[in-house]
Amino acid sequence: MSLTSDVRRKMYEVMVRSRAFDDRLTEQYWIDKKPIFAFGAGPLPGELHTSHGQEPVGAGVCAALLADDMITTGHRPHHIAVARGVDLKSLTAEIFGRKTGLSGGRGGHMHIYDKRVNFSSSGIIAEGLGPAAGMALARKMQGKPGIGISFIGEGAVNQGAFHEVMNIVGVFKLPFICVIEDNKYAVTTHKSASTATERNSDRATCYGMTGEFVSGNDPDLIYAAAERAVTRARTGGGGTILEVETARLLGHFMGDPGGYITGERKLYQVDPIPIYRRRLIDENILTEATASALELAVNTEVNEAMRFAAESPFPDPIDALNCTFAD
Amino acid sequence: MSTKEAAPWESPTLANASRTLTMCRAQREAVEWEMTNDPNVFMVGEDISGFGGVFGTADGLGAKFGLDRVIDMPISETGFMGLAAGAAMEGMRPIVELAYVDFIGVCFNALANFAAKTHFMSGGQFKVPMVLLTGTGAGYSNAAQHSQCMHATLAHMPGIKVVSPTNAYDAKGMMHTAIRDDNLVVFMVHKGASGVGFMGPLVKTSLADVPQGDYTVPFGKVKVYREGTDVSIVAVGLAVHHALQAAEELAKDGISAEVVDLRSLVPLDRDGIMESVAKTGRLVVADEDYLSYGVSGEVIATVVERDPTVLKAPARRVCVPDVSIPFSRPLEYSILPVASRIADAARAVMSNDRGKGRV
Amino acid sequence: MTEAKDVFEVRVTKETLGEGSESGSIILWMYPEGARVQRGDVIAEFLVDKITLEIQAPATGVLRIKVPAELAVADGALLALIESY
Repeated sequence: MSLTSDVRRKMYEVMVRSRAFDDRLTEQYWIDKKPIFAFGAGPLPGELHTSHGQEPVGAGVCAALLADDMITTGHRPHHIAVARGVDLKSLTAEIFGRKTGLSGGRGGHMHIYDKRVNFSSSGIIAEGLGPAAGMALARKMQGKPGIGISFIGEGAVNQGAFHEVMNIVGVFKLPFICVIEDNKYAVTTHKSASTATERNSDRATCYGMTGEFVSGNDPDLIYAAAERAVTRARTGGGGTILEVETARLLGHFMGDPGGYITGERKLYQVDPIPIYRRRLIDENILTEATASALELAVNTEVNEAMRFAAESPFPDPIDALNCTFAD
Repeated sequence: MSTKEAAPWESPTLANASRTLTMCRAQREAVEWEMTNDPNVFMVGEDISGFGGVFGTADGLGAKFGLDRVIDMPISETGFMGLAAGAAMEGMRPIVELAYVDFIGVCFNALANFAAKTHFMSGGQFKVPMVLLTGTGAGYSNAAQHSQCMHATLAHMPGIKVVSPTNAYDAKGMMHTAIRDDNLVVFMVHKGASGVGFMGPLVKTSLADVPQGDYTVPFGKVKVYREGTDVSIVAVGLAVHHALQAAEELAKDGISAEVVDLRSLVPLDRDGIMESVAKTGRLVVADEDYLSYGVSGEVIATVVERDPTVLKAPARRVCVPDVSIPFSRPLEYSILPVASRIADAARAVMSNDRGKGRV
Repeated sequence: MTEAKDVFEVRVTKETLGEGSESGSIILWMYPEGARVQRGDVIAEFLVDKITLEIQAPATGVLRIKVPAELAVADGALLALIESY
């Protein structure tokens, strides 16, 4: 694969879809949570961590992957799920806690699983690293293709699991990529206050892995770096720690106004989607008309997914008692 | 094949149909059989390929199956538990060796929050068929951080099957069952009863005739080691053997004790517990785990919830009394559920001895 | 009763004990006295210090146990005989 016009159009489309998805969810989230915020109220209860601003990471990395590759993610999974092609209707229904959701409403927005596209997420920081490495190991043992990719935030590198798993990846030369989404904030704590090194990709040296740092929240650069990492993984070149500087345009979760992001630090938090749109139009990959048509189509698709979810039945209460064990 | 008819003792199926084995060796045979017959079964853990694991659980497996299937891991339990869970999600059947269950703290998240919950959270899309093989228990002066049982800690979490065989026959059959199960199974063997040579004299009641070849022992069924009519001693792990010894002592006093081995904590055979207690009308629970909030309480709750009227006397528990396991021998043995404590509890129950304090 | 054709000895050797150990002990006889065993069968576990070793039957035949479990035995000690017919 290479960075063709098709790939770039696709990345833009994925970013727009993810944003539209998060925008619609945000609208739904606030229903019945104003004027007085109640965590569990409204059609979309619980915590909601949207991906506003981080869309380039999902779009860029996933565009470089194949269907056999296996992804684990964390508590902010929408942009990656959308980029990976997780079924939008069942994804939405899951987030609305409906019977038609991916997990029948057992998971919710932090626990997105779609085996069809080898995608899973889990809400505990850095917890997806070991499983993604294990998935890669499984394929290696089975002689089947597929590499493991785990997305974590820059704060997750300070979990012991990061050190343990990266070392294991290095020791066993597993076909694995750790994508670090550096949005600068672990909830409210700035990277500079939590992490003794500026670039976590530098840590790769210690683990016998390759480190890459991509600045600018730029899907084209992210794609190129991901492609290099994928090639290394597929050709026995070992694992990669790919740190991507990205932006978190909103708070940690819905309801966090992000007042702690001030001054110079605000400069990082730039919306990447209009920038990319402009670039594709300038480079004649999209026109104003084709971009608008694409945006309209994607928005329609997202609205349909929202309607599907809203109209879907809730699960039967008895379903809470199913699925704890596999039969 | 030779056409000459073999003498009976030359036929493996006849001459060597079974042998007396320790639990350790018996369960290892099951692992070996599964690894031979299912390429998806593999083992990960610390010091297993050459050393065979601290308690011999992998003895000889590295030499037989190679380093690609008996994989030595760095001291990174949270890393390799997660690794195993991910491999299991992709169709492998990992057996993870954790020498001491005490170390569960450093990997509890990968187990309880990931491996145990993935099937549920994914609505059944992903199965996590993995076995955590771990050693439990005290009695040899290894002190507070290498002597715990932690039965309840694991059994409390939804999505984890927890079993604890107490003899070689069950150990092999339950290991086959564990490896073939599509869930996370924590396979606990008390170090003192596993039959590892250096743990001291073998616990004779843990030895058993073990058939060659594979067979399964299902989870969720109690085993009545010894039938009795006066009092049920329901036990788990090494406490089962203490209970058998206590039953011998009690027999001298004319008390007929029934010894019931839970074998499996999740699933728990509540019918089996009830059946025994309904028969004897008296209950002592022996568990080397901590007293409070544990298996012993669960057993009593089972009876109380189903039919408290079967009890002719208040039930008693013989457990570790909510303190850490001490190092010094007299301290340690004072808090373990040894035979004398179990027998005392049974006598107290028999005399309906209310209000004389906890045993 | 037929006479044994051959009798094979199972003894403790220097190799069994390794360097630095003077004795060991059978932990477990896996077959009872008089059992028929096959050449190569693991018939006993033998403990030297903290290490458990396997004792294999040197021949197919009938096991005659000469040393009970849990007794310390030194180099050269006769553990068992295998009588082949």
